[in-house]
Amino acid sequence: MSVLHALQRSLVKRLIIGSTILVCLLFAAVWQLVSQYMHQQMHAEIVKRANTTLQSIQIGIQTYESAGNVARLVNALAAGEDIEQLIVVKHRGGVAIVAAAHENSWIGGQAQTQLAAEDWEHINASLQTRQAVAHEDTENGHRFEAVRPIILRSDDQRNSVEGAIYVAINTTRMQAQTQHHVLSITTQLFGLMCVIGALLYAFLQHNVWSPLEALRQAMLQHTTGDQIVYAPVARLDEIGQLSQTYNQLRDAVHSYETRLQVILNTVVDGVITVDDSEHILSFTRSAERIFGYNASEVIGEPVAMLMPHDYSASQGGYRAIWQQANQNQRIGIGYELQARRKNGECFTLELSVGQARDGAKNIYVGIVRDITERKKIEQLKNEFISTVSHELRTPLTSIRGSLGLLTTDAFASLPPKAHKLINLAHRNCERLVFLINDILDVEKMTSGQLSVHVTEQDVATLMQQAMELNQGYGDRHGVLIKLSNAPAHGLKVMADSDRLMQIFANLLSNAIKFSPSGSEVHLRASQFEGMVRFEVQDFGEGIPDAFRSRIFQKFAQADGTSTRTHEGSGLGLSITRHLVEAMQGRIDYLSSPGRGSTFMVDLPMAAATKDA
Amino acid sequence: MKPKPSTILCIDDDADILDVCQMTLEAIGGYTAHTAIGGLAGIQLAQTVLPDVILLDYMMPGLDGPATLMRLKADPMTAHIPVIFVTARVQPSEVAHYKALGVAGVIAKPFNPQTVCQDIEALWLNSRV
Repeated sequence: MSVLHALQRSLVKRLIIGSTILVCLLFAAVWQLVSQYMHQQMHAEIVKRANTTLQSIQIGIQTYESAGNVARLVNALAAGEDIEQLIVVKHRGGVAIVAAAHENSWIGGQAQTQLAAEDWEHINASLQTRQAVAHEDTENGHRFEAVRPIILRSDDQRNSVEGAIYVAINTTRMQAQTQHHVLSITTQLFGLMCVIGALLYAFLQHNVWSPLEALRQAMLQHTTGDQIVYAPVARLDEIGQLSQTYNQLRDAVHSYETRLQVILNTVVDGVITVDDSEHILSFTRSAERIFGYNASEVIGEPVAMLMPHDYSASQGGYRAIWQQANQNQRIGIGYELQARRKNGECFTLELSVGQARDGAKNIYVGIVRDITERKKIEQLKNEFISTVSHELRTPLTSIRGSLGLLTTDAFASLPPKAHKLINLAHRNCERLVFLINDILDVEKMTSGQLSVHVTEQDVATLMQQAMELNQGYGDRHGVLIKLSNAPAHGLKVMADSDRLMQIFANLLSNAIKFSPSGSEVHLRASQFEGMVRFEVQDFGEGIPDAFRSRIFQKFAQADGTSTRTHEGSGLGLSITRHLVEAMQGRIDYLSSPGRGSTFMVDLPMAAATKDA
Repeated sequence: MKPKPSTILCIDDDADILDVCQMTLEAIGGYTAHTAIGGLAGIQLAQTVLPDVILLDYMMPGLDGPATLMRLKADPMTAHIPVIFVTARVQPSEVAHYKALGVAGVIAKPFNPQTVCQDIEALWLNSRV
């Protein structure tokens, strides 16, 4: 498996092994072909030699008249290289007699007895069939035998008799010679292939693998280190172009990284990245300024070093903090937590966290802001508002108390003009009280201190109360508050009664303010989607569409000009929405220009009512 | 008919507020109202008149509201009298702090003279339960 794995990982190894196998196969095939060819050649040579010998003797027999001359010719030819046996036999009376032989002792003897059985067989076959016979014997040494039928003169020179010439050639030497030739040729071929292979390897090494390895090393440096390493471009071939493209990419990435680094180092907020194991991966210059550490001191260290001891445990661990911060970020609010500087000083930090995937790992990007100064300013502002409101309220207590008393029946004997002035002063004093209360409420909202005490309340009673409390304001504007569709006693809502009265006061005073004199403002309650819906409807000028996005914001006024006709701080609806939401409710409105508006407040129904 | 307090003592450092308080309590609530400028005078008067309810300002020079309250609670003669803080500082955290000191309730300044007597009676009844 490891060999296969190594092969899969290396093109070079695959090429070397593949080409080696190919060369071996090629070599075997060449060996086979050369060997076959050389042996064919050798065989043809042997046959030619045998035929030449036989031909020579046949001519000799026909030419020489004396048997002695023929015998001398046979001996002379038999002395030639590789000729093992050379025999001339004549056939007389069914018996083959040796007429001439390389060994004269055999002459006159019977061929059948003198010769080896296999040799005699071939001669006999030729004598019987009058056909030439050739046979290659590889069993008893390498030899080639050939027999040719001939016509001989009889002993009396008058008649002709049949006979045959037999030659046996030892092929061992020629075989060896041929083998030697084959070996020599294939060895040379192998050498040539090796040289070509080596040249090819050197070529590929120089032109492909070395540049590829250099490119790989450059990429590796880029991944692991922070120094710029360019891939060398030796030639502008395909690999050279690849390296060049990589270098351009590297430049682009570097330029992008530099720009990003400049941005990160310029922003006031610190940016810290942390891995899954809660170790710091990066730390920007702003983070250095905030925490007092150098990046080199914190990178690779646990993020715990940036927080007070045991702080994370009290918050349910870092992951809980990250997740909390991550969720908060979605709704655009940073998460406040305690942090620690290098000098040990603890301070308040605002954290937003983004999460990124890096392969199988998570990376948390934390944007941190030192809000120590902001906290101090907030504290100062709170103290200021608290003091100012106290200082304003103390004199107001006397004024409001005095004016309130003067408007009662106890002082009915005052002249009408004085009464009118007192009423005027009392009304405006009330406005001032409301304004100060609104400002304080907004302050409480901002600091998260505005709390509600929700209990079960009877809807019909609340509505009656709301109508009674606000009719005085309605009377001054000539507007009648009408309870339409008042629910039966028994419908209960979960609300803070004081705060709900404040909500009604805001909505009803708005409705009255924007209603023409002589018109009505309707107050309704109903069940809606499992909640209690209160509606305040007026028939005034309506709310411009353009104002919808801002209507529930602080200090929002549809008519923002200095000549506006309607009084108010613009805080009422902002406070109202906050109060409604604090009671787990919701608020919205419908409006058509010129035909009035309807504000709807939905609050949770009491459990007892739901069951009923 | 519901029981109601008959004698009320107001302690404040602001004479104007004391006047308004007294007139309101007498004209609207029909109580007998006593007033004292400052905590020390208030404690002495409380021991003399033994009111049903004490309205006490929180912020006063010299003996402030909490210190006056401590002394009233420490004196067996006045310890049982319900004390209501009358103050402009009514942030939720501040109110929680007042309650912890042992007051019967808190009335925010500037109070509404037409409703303040009802508020006092409600807090007084509540303290008797």
